[in-house]
Amino acid sequence: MPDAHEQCGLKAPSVDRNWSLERLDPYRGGPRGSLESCLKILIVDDDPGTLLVASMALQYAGGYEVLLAASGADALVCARQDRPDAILMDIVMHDLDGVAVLAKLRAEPETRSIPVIFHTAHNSPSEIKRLLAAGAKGVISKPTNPIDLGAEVERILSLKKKAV
Amino acid sequence: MVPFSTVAAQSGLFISRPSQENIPSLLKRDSATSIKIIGCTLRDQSLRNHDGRLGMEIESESIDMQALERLRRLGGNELVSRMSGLFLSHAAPAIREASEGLARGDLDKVGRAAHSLRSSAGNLGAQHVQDLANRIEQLCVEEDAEGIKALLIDLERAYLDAKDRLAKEMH
Repeated sequence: MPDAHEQCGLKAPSVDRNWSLERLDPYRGGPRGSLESCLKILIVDDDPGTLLVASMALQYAGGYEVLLAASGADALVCARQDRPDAILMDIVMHDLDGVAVLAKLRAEPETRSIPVIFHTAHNSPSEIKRLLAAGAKGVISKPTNPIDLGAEVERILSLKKKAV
Repeated sequence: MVPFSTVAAQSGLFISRPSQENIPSLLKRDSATSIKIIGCTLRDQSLRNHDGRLGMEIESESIDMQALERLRRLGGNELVSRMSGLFLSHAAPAIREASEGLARGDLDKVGRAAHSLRSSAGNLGAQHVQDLANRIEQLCVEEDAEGIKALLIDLERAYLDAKDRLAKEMH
């Protein structure tokens, strides 16, 4: 079965899973200005279409350096290696689900402080409450208007835009 | 199911007594204009009784054109084309997987296939596919195999409608 990155036209990780993630160029001129002030965000989803749209949406919003992972296991590798500033993650995935990934991230000193935002179609009030109680910083419902995704992420992370 | 009384009120039609008449026939007789509910289109369907009231089934649009426009705004026709390709390459195997799961009595497999299809359909605005996949996912939790079987037939049709719509949109 084709790799999720290959399916959405992104560079696939090397076969031995020694991660060298495709880093999408940060959008120039975004609200956070220079590359140094970009927010490094890891998007985790086993659906290649969602990975593609979410990465494009954050590029559109500007000020993000986007990393991608197509599974829970790959997300853990990336989080440990690349130390993103935030993680936007699906819940239902083929291997580890998002809640299990969050638990593992919180169990490790190097990754426990990375804020995790769940991106999920399971968005009943009780489910959102459960996810927040599990330690999520926030929950964004799917399907998301991609034009608004960047603003949603900023709102949850309580980021303030710098004057450009 | 949407009670016809709701639709009738919105359209200005008044039906004094419930009947078994076909709604489109009623509409043609009583109104020169068709009813369009925002985001949905009234399909030519026979009236169905539901809980003793008039009702009809509203189907979502095969493709939400606003969703495609948002994708175009993000990444032009190239992104729309790429997303369409991903959806089409994913949807048929997912429907097949759901059918195979149902045949084996593996509702977990059906639910997983429906969930993934719901995501990919949602990205592209394939509303009807998304709605049906969502309902199938719920029926998996309720272990309603008969209900799933009926919806899978609708899902296949909805997928083919979406495929046709996308093909027209791309040309």
